[in-house]
Amino acid sequence: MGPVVRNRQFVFALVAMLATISIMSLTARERQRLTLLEERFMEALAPLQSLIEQAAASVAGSWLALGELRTARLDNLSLKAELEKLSDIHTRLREIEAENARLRELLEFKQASPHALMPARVIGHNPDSWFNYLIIDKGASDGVTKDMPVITPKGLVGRVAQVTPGTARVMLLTDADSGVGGLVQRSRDAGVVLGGVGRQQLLTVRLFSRDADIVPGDQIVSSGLGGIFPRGLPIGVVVRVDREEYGLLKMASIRAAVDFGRLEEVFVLGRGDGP
Amino acid sequence: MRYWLIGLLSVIALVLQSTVLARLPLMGVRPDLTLLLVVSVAVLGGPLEGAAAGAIAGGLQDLMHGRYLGISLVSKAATGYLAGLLERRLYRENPLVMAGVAGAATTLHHLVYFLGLRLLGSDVNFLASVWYVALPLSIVHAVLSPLFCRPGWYQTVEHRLRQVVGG
Repeated sequence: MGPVVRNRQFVFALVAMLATISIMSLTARERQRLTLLEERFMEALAPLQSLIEQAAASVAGSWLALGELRTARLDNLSLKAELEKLSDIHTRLREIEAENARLRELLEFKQASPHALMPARVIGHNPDSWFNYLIIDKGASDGVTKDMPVITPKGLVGRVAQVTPGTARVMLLTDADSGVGGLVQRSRDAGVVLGGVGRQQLLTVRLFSRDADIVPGDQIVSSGLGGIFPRGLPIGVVVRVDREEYGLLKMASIRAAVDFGRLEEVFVLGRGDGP
Repeated sequence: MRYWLIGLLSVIALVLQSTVLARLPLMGVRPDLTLLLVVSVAVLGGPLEGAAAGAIAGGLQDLMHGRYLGISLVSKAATGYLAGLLERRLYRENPLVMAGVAGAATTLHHLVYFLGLRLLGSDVNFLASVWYVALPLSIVHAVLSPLFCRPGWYQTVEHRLRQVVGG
């Protein structure tokens, strides 16, 4: 390889690197809109993600049902074919039953809720272990806008971080960049609920007062401070009061009320709703 | 190297990572198939091919993320380049060697990604990211590496794809 070619490659790599760093800096802050390229890419992948996500949910159900029938199959091998057939029917019935129960719960919740709720289906998750978000099948054309809260009957899920015309990306409470105002329901002590990298279900609450009254088993609800989330939405239960950081703050670990790994349907709260 | 093939495999990997694998985490993490793809191309093709594969796979991942556009591109391109430097120094037929490379490359990728996040102002905790992400992911990738880091695998994939599309 000649020096001219080497120099050309070096200059190309340098320019590419500088351009990339500029783009990274420009996109590191929270943005009101995605770039056209990002929007188109997400929109193009959404139908495929939706299809595979539904298939994955169905396969996960079948796997559980087959595990339960393993003992019966070993006891009576001659009935294996019959059992598999029954298992298949059973799985499908359980899937329909579970979906029915979920939808009934969602409907009851929607009817009882004082908020305007928009149902949405989860069609994807983040592809890595660094961040925690969901992709839902409702977007700007359905009236979804940035920062709208996302909930389930069990509690707070997160907030809309970005929208495309047909989808929205929901930052979960467990995301490393997430921060939500929270209250200890019993003592009314306030703090901020934080996610963290690699978190599945555990959150951290950082209370503003070192004398805050908090014990394991306390319920944490949203405080309404910050103006994004309505007050009083369940966030989770305290499992451990951890430590005082430099003696100034009290920290506690919370198990989230919502099982983020099993979300299939959620509600987006209309803007301006809340007590 | 066929860039279209890297792009296609990256899109498939990203869709799987965001759907099926998100439901079946291993050791609490979801495998980064795109990173395994990049490491595989790098070890088999050298530093420049590794960097190019990293830029393609990372760039597509960034488009899917909607945040910190370019961070995966840089971290995966750097990992691909550095893993590619091992091209002629390794006995690639040995699965244990490849497992070690996949694990080390995952740790390296983690460090570059972490540095990028910190430079961009994210408040990610280093120890938590090592404990909850880098360590389990390196082990998972080392275990999965025999599936991807094999000589000639992507030529086989390309051949099969051409058969499917009649090319």
